[in-house]
Amino acid sequence: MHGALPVKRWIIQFIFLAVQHPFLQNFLSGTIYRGPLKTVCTSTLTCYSCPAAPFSCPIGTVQYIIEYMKMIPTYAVGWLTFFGTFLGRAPCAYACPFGFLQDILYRFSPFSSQRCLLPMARHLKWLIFALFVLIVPYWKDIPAFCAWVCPAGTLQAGLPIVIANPSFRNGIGVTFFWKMFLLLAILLYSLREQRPFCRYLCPLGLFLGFFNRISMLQIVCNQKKCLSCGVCGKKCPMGLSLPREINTLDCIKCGTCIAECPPKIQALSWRFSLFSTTKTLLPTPDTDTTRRQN
Amino acid sequence: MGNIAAVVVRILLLLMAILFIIKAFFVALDNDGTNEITLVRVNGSTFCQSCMGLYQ
Repeated sequence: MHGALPVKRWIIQFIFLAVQHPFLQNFLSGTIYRGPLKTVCTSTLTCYSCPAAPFSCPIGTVQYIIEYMKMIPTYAVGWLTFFGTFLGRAPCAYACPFGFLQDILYRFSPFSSQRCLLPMARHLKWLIFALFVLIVPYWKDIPAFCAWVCPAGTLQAGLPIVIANPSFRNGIGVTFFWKMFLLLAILLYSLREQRPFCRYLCPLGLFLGFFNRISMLQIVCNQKKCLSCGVCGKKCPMGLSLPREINTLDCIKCGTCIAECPPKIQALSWRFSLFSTTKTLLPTPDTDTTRRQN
Repeated sequence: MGNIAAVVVRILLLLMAILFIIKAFFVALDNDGTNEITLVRVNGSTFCQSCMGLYQ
């Protein structure tokens, strides 16, 4: 096990888990909520077929609109752009239920390791996004990410509905078992490496990551204070090289690096502003090298 | 200069996001007057065979 419990973040994650799953009684009846809130897209992987979910999943909505209307899904893109411009990828760290589950598994696992075993696999999510979210739904009329990949959908919708609703059990086939296998593989790997789905596969995280550099919520590094001690990078749940990769595509802005920055230095901090950027405050690789040589 | 560009981009993105969301309520996609929000609601209110892993 690694590090202290990130208590504040876990409390926020738990609150968002409860807000995004208020209709718990539907798990028993095997039904889903069908009210007006279903028109609202969240910024997390919260399957709209989950019995307890009041909101719609943006990735599911994108695939459906592309598949059904062959048009740009402006509504879901609008929601994601809205969230992304304010928060960047922070919803991954603070609001995503599947990210929360991976955090819990890793934190209490006896097999956890800080080593990133598959660094090049980070780029897989580009393929997942292009192929399964955009191309196959457009070309073959199949919501491919939901149908073949999404482990959150399997956990939140597939399992509970199939268990509670006998009429759906006849539909179980190869795809169901493939998705179960994928879910188990991801959860088991979460015991070894932190947030593998977010690191390597999540198309929603990739999309929100596009806004990371420009979002109003930024992690800032005071170059004058930073000693390049590397403590922040050792604790990063996404396995990033910090502080150089702060606010990059894969940064989920969880704030672990801020918490781990030695108390006497405090080179890292939060900033939320419409009117400022962090470009000049981030240390460049050259200054890092110079500092180490000195 | 960098700051001004970032602020302009943020404001443009927010305006675009709000326009995209509003458009879904008012712009009809076919002759029946179906708009994007109707599709999202219908989609969100059905048991999704794909999500459940029952897609054959």
